[in-house]
Amino acid sequence: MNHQLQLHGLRCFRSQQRLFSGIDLTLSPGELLHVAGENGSGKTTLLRIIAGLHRDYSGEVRWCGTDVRQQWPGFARDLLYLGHQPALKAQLSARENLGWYAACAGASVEAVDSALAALGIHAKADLPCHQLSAGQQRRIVLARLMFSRQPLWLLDEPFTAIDVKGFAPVVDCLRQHLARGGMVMMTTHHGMDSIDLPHRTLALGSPSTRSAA
Amino acid sequence: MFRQWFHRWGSPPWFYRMSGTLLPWLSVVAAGLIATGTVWGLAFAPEDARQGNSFRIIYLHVPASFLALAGYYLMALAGCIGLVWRMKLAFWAVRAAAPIGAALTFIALVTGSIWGKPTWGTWWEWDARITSMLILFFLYLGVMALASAYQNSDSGNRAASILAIVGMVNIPIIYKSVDWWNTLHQGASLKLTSAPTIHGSMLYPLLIMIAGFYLLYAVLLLLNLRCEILSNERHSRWLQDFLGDKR
Amino acid sequence: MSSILGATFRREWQLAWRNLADAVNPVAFFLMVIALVPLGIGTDRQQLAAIAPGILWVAALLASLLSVDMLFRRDFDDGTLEQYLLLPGQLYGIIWLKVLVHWLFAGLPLVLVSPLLGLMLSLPADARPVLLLSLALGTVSLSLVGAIGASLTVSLRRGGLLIAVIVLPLYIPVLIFGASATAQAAGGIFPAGQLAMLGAFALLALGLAPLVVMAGLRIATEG
Repeated sequence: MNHQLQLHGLRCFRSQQRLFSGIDLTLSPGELLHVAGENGSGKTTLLRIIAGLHRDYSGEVRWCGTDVRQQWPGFARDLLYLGHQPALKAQLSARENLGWYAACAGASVEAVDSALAALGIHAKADLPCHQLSAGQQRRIVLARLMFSRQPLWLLDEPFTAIDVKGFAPVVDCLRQHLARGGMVMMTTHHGMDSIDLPHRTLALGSPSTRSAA
Repeated sequence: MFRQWFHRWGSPPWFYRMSGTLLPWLSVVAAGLIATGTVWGLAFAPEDARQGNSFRIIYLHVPASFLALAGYYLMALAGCIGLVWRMKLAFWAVRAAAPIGAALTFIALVTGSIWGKPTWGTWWEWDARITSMLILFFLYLGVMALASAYQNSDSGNRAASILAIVGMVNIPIIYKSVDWWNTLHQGASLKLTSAPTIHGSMLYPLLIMIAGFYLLYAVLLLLNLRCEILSNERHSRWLQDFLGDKR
Repeated sequence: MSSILGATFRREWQLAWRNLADAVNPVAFFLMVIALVPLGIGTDRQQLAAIAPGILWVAALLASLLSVDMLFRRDFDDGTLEQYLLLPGQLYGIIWLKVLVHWLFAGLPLVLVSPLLGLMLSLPADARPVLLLSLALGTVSLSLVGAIGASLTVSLRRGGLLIAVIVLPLYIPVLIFGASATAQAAGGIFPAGQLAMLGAFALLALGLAPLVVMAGLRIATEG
């Protein structure tokens, strides 16, 4: 896979205020980029820009060499974005929710079942999601990672409210994704020490925003 | 060449300076035309055979209704330009044009109603033109309400522009529907503009008033747009320098 | 591609069933408004019959307007809307299907209950099939145009009356032809022209409204 994400001179505005400027970086297959910074430094906005949800920016985001704005449907197919909100339907069960995501990802019903099993929610898979705890709901959200084959994953605070049962399987899943040549860009409050994966860090909010190995 | 011209028009500093020099001239000509048209129409044009002196209100009503409709199209066009070319100035033009158009529509409604009183005997009559004007007033209100409801002004600009464009597409449909509806319910009543039969000496002051109103609209739009520029760019360098120079 | 749309339809259908209150409320509103009319105007049958076509249409229109806010609100609140925007190839279809399911659950009940309400307002029997047909065609347009209003206001705190202010002027042509069709049928003449216009509006809305909705939803997720 020759997928590569490049950011050139990315400058971002939010509510008419400049958040960050001059971001240049390249993300290659197998790499995990940790976007660090204080609250309000623009970590979430950066991910949303790449995910095409925030359009007020200057500079370029390139995927496989071409600006993403010129190949949007193709890029969107290669993208998995998990934002702050769980994007789960509270009245539907875990199985029903994941069933829709599986259809979108082209995965089979069996893949959903094994994801549910791997994350230990198999027993409660047919209860409406509003009856599950926050930790269980977070595990359902992250179950999408198990059957998604998109090369680029943008994860915004994926480990928020996660419980012990979910942590290890998800980190394993990330490891396998990177080994397959996938890329991950993520933000997390917890710090990367507990996550035993090789990674680079992009620190936002500092005077010179450049990636450091 | 076109690109240069286009970029210049989209640049707030250039526009602010240009409109500043243009404004006095436009105002003088607009005032002149309106004064001429008003005096001619109110004092010197002959009385109408059927409506007597009450028809003179058309010198206010017709230009106001023209501009109310033309103003909506202008607003929608500005919205288009803003959305397609991401031009801030175009979005500010949408916000500037909306209240002016709404006010003109209101004037058209009031003058239309004043005209109706001696003609039909009532202050309000649901004829095709007045009803269409009323709906146009609602369309303006919708755009204004939507723009101001958004905290994030960028999103508000885009939403208001989309609504203006949807309204623009719907205006012919609405006008035609109301026309058709009116023929069902009114039958043969006095039409508010017996345009083909208007006499020359009544027509010329009307044309002068229409021209004057177009220029008045331009003056008001530029004034409002300059306010938008000031308000949106108040932290910018060019404005601080510009105002510094003025002192 | 079609499996995504199929899965989306099934999901919207399941959600609609589990939120049946969203379907019952518009019908209850329709019924209550119609009940208000004789209470406000009097029970003279001829008077009621004369205004019935218009009142039925206005009430149905308002009921449809009230139901439309729900179209995207839950999706916006739980973050599903963003996920839809990440499926650009299917977004048009997704919107179409959402409005379709919404119409089946919130619009169609209004249509089906209308002959009964017509009876309550002494609408002549000849007019009731036409009332049904005109509402069936009209509510399609109303749902689609309402969706435009919903998409432009979904990210605002108090959508409420703002949707009404935006959308009511756009509803007027549908109202004019729908009420006129019903009134003409009450007079014994089949209103082919008006029904054709309603059909034309519906087709136009079916084609174009989802495009505008797409633009509106993009604005909603940006803030």
